[in-house]
Amino acid sequence: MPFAWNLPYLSVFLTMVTAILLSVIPGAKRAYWLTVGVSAAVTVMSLVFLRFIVKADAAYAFTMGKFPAPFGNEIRFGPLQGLLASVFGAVMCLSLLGGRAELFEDVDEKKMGLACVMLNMVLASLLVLSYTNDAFTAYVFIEISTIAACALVMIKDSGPTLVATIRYLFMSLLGSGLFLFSIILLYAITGHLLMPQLHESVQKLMADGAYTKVLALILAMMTAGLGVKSAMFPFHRWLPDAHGTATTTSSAVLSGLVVKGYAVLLITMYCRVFTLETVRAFHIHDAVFALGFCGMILGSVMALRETHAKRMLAYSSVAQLGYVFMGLGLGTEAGVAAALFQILAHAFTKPLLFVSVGRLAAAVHHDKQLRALRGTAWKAPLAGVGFGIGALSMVGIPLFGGFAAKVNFSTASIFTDQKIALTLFVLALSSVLNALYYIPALINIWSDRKEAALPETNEPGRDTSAAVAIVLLAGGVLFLGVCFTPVMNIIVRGLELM
Amino acid sequence: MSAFTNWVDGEHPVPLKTEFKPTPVKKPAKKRASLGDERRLDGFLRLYARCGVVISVMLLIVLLIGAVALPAFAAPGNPTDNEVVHRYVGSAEEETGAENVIAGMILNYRGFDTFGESCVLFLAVCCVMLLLWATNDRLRAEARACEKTAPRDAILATNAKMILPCVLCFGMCVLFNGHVSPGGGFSGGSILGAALILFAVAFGSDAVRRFFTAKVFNTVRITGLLIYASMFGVYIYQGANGIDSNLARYIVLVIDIAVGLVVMSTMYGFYSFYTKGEL
Amino acid sequence: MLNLILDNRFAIASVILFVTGFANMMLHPNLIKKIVSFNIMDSATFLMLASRGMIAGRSAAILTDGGADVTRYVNPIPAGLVLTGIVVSVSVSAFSLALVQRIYGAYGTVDMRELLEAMKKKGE
Repeated sequence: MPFAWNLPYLSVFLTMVTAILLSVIPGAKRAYWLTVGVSAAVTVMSLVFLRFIVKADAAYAFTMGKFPAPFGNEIRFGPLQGLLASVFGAVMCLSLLGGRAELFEDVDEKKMGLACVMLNMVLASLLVLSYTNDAFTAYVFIEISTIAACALVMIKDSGPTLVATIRYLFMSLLGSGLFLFSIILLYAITGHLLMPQLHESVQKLMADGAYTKVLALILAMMTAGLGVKSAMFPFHRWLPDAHGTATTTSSAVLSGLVVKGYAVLLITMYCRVFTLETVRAFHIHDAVFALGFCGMILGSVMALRETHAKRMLAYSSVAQLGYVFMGLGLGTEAGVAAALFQILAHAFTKPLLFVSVGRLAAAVHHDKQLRALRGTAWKAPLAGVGFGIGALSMVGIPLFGGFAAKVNFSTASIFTDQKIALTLFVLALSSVLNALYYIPALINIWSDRKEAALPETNEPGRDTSAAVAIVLLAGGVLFLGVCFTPVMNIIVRGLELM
Repeated sequence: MSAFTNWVDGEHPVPLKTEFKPTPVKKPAKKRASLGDERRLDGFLRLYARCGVVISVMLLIVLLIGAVALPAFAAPGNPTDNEVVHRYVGSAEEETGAENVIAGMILNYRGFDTFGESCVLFLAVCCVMLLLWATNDRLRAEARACEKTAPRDAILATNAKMILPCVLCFGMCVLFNGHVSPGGGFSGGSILGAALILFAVAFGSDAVRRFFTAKVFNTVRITGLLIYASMFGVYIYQGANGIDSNLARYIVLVIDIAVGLVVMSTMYGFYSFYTKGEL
Repeated sequence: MLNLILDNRFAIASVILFVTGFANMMLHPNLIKKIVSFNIMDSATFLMLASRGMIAGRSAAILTDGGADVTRYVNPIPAGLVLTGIVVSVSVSAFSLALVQRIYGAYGTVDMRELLEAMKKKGE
């Protein structure tokens, strides 16, 4: 076995061991830079691994211990998992860099190490959620991700963040409770926890027509549980508070990555365990489509009504996650591939927007009301440009990642029977709605501040790391918008090899 | 002794750091100028309650239908009674060196899950520290003052002297025999943690601080997890790359003890941060 | 029908418990009670899981004969999973209780409704 196949598990252990060590390493700066270094190392490792696995063009199971599939834990990786891990690592690293100044302001110096523990654990759980081949490992790491993500909201330690945290925590617990229950039911009727054996048993049960009610129940509960955690439409109410009040790095990580981890797991469960045919047989995909549809429109409508820049971005995340669920709801391979591309595009775009807003707000004493941000782009031009790129990508202007995602959704919808009209309609409507709040915000930050009677601005000061983060994240958005074919090829191949 | 008589007379107040008052009965809504906001909140809460009831009832019906359709309880030959179970029961002793199949299973076959689980505990302590760790002097002084007013309890102290050795012995026994009898790291660790908490309650946390300082707490916690991580990391590397070794036969015992240390310090950490905001 | 119910008595009990916890968690305004209902929900899943491992007439999976006769012991897997679940549930409860303690310090209430009102009043 080539050494490269050890890289996924090594990257997981690297992040977890660092997290454990960080809780005792003194010094805020050291902890922060160690975390940045680890996420950069994970990115590099995953990229190297991605290169090898794309070349090998195959998917492998990797036993976590001495015992293979039905007996011991296992992870399984193909091109898709390598791609996801690289993006997760890179975005984590860039979010950390982009929110550096605010992170050091918002977090108590003595507690910085603990905050970095949480960031590392989030990364580890994201990696495991995309690699895992074991349903119960998925549950354990969902819980790790829940606790760490909630802690990321509250590291700012103010009244509103505490309340937002507890709402987030309770919703997440409902979600993981549903997920755990569905896994137990699945275990009760199949007797397995490892995904390959689950797949076999489910196929057999479907062929025999046995336990169909229970299977439908399991699918529905699993979808609902993971849906609650990734802010699927009717369960989205916790998201704006949690993502809107947290510090910039946390908002970027939560919006860009954490909610995606659960969506990726749901896709893995659909494709690897149940197969899309089973999902279609129980019409779960129709429900997911409808919820995604509502989420896309209502998320944008809520965002239109917001006056707080970060809460607006958070509501926009609800809309963008609606895209992911709409793609899943198409119930075809192409739809799932489009949803995965949307996950990647949004993983770059939303942190870019959050980091830019954080930098812009640094010029007005961290007041993040849209009104207060008027004209701040002239103080921090790079952040202004970054916000522009992010906003245009969200609206769906060609050359940006968001456009490519929308193209993928439209082409995917062609292969469905009835959903073509609905999909195209909702894509168009949501683009218009996105434009209705992103373009005014963009004009607002670039317009003249003197006309409006607003308090004085201050100099935001130089922040090289934020500049690097904005440039690289914008680069990622542009890359996905221009070279989307190779990325799409990896995703499609990865889905075939799932 | 005077503390004791006071206690018998019921004279000293119960010193609670945080008093939770019961939820007051909802007062009739007062007419106020800012009624719009409140009405919106009321409306939202009412809608939320109705939706919640509907969702719960639907969930109950659907789940009941599912539960009735499950394989019958305790019947041999259920789908869960399959080759995986037979392999675990049949070869656990030979492959993992553990007569307690459950310990062998969670620490060897499914050891990565259990590593994640220990990390959940570790994360919980970190979160509690993030929230309750009194980092500035004012908070620390407050916590100290609150603790000093708590009188030593003579009955508790006397009883603790008798009970503690037994609890400690029992905890050790459960911890070290985890691989051959019921018990293991998690149960043994929590018994030891309970012993520490009892010690702290009975003799004051200054007495605990004589041997269990913040440094020891961190060292124990981190060492336990690091032993687990490094040992299991090596084990995974060997297992996945087909390198032959005898590691599998030792990891159950060693990791069990490591987990026990982690759990013990975690439990005491919870107690200590809740009551004092520090160790 | 009665037979079906009797065959699955533990599953039915655990489902009812689960929904009790679920509904309380969604509907109860008191944060502490929400945490308790979360624990009820988790206990329900453990009951379900533990009942899945039982096989009539067999004993606990602590080997006394070296595993020579695999039909003498019950299924060890659910026991391990319940252990994991309990640890997770303890951790989450500890975290949320600490959170409630801080929230009480900041707003003087553990009632979700009053909390929302207090936040509105402070203009947050």
